[in-house]
Amino acid sequence: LDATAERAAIEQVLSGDPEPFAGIVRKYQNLVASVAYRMGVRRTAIEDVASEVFMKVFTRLHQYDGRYALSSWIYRITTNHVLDEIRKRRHTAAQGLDDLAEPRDTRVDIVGDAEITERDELVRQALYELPDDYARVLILKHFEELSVLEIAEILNLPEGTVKIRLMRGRERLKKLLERRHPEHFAEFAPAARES
Amino acid sequence: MSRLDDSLNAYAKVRVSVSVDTRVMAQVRAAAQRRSPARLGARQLGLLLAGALGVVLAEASVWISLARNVRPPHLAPFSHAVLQLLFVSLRLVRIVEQLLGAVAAATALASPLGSAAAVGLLLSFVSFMAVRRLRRAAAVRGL
Repeated sequence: LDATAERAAIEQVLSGDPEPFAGIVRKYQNLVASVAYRMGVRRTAIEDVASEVFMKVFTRLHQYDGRYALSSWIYRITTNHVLDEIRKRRHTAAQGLDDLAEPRDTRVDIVGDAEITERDELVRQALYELPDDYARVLILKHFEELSVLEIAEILNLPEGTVKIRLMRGRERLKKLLERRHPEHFAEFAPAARES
Repeated sequence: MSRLDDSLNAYAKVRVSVSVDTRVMAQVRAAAQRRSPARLGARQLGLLLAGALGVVLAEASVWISLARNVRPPHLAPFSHAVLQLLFVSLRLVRIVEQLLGAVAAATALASPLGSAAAVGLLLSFVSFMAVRRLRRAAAVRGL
């Protein structure tokens, strides 16, 4: 599905024929699942979250104005959806997204997570405790390896604001980690920084 | 690059493959179906229209029968009949509304203009019958 076919598919879906939406799902399902997993959704919940994201994409397709790539728009919906879910469930039951999913057979293949260390996981958990504005830019910058310009497009922000939020977010993350896990992150403490 | 960057970037290498297109499309088709309700078949549409026509005829016959039976010397039965007629009329009007609503939802009448036209037609019919009935009553009183 190239950009032209994608636009044609969107127009067909908007005119009442839902079938071309299958092409959009097939093209972006791995992207959505990867973003969700990197943001903390566990293996057993990935399919549920991906389905929810695509239903949001379908119901809001009329809002897509084509100014940016469809992938950017889906990125934004995915990150917002996952962050909302994480926060909602944290407030209600203090459970992760994985705990709420029924264990079942799944066709989810994950590549590259064997190298994730305990320290990396602590950093990711701390990231979600930051205010949304900082968490979003850090996730897109580091987990998705997007440029400042791409982040600005996805979040609809000026580039300068993205840079400032990246800098402040990193500072807050360091402080949070050194306070919460001094045994792992002592190097962020002021004394360590001065030396 | 700091160790914090190393930890944050560790997740960038993770890739996930899923196949949710069948499942999503089932939900999408259901949602699309809900957005545009299934069109009624010709037989169902015919039945609905016949039902609406039947109710309209019943309404008309009740009014005609009342107008024919009203006599000035029988004022009490007249009031009683008017009350009864009001109850029957209200019921019939509700049935007509429901039938027209079902037809409108299944046809082009679902548009706001179509709905307004349907309500207008109904009101015209009721007004017409009321005027006719009042004229007839006045004529009867004049006898």
